Amino acid sequence: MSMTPHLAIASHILLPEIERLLSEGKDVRFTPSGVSMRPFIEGDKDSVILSPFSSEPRRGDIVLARIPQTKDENTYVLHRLIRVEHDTTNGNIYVLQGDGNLIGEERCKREWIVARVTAIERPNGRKKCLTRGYIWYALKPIRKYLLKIYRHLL
Amino acid sequence: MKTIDGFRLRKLGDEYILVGESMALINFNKMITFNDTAAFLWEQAQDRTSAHGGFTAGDLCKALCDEYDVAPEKALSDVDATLDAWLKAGIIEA
Repeated sequence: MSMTPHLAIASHILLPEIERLLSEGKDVRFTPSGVSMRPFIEGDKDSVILSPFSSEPRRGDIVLARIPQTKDENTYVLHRLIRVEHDTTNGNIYVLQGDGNLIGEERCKREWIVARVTAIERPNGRKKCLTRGYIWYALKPIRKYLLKIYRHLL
Repeated sequence: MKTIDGFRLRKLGDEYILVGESMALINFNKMITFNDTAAFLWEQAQDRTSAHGGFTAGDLCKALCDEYDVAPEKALSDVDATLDAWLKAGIIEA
């Protein structure tokens, strides 16, 4: 038996379970990994609280999305919704991008978007400010340099 | 001894995890992984806590010997080590 203060269960097992709990209407706290949401979420340190949607996803939300890869294989991303492309025939496309990424977007259907981040917490449990990232998005042309500075400050 | 409220045993793949859980929030930051034996002991401890208000090391030892083919001395040392770890983890109280 061991105490595991951080994610110790493989994410391909944990995330489907988290999705199931969210679908039952529960909130879930967990520690995401990776650097793709810098500077807002520090992977493997900060934790997030995910809540099921009570209203439609909006630009600026940080969302958990399940992206189908093959028939029975999914990947999950925790990224920000940067744009909704309205399409009346095929349904809207929800475009996601990590705040810490310079390129790459995920184009999602509504049903792939599982939950919204409603709080970000530091390792000591104190809440971080949950912004909609508009200013950060506006600074996209110089994001590369800002992320470099951020890494030096860590 | 008693198990502390607010934890639930879940099976994820081949592993058991004990997860901190209130009515509204499931906390995967507060979690402990269990092997089969530890999961069995936890269920016994939790059942006895809710049915009788607590359990003893002897209760768990007996349950372990009834369920698994294990010598009583070995069972006792396993149960002692497990309870010691649980106390340290704050999931049971003396």
